Amino acid sequence: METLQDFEMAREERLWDGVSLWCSQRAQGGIYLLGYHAEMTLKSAYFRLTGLSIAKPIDRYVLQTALGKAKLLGVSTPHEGYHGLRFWCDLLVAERSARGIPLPSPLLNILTHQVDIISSRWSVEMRYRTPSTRPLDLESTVTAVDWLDRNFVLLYT
Amino acid sequence: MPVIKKKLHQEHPDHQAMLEIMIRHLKDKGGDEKFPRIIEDENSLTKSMNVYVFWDRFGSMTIQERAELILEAYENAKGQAEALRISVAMGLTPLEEQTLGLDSPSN
Repeated sequence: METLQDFEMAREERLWDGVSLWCSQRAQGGIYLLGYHAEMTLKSAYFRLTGLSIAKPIDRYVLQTALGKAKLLGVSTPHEGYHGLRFWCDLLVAERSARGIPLPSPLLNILTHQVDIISSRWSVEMRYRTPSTRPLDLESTVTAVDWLDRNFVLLYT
Repeated sequence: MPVIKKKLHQEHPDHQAMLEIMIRHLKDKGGDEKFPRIIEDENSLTKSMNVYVFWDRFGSMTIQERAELILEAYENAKGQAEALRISVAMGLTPLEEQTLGLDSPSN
């Protein structure tokens, strides 16, 4: 079972895997791996915000607690098998607001915009599908993922 | 045969009753009742806590239902801020407690 620390190391690996495919202009594969990096960035930011120890395994109890908090905070975004980027983004934003440390509006607007860009192009199921991704989709995803990566620490501090 | 409309989120039939009991315990009004047994594991660095609740009545509840019950009980008994301090809300039956090898102080 992966700990938060394992998660963050894998996050870094998926970024460079995705960048490697971007350099090779492998659009579908590049977006697929960069999307996972985005997912882990948002999840890690959320778990760091909630004070989860980096040595704690991210097991079903941790994930179900997050779902319970979403219900508490009125976040109704579908979690999509715990992979939903919009879910983790909305939960992070809601929890920050409830704790009295809301994201500043400009940052919030950019965050939701970047998450929308990635969400509209990435899904877990794309691994089963024939390539339908355009080079422009890859470029947009790279830009959005780059922003998320650069602002990771700001998301939970 | 009548058509039964299934609700999207059906609350466990014991949810309300168990919620009231847990709230009573969180307010230190549990008396001599053996369950629920509630353990708060504080993380002084992050100011968060893991909450373990051992209860024989959890057997028929899913993990999600247990987590929701625990969080709702904390919100009602101690306020939302306290509920948000919980990073893991783990509801376990006594058998699961044994299986997982969790140490818990006896009452």
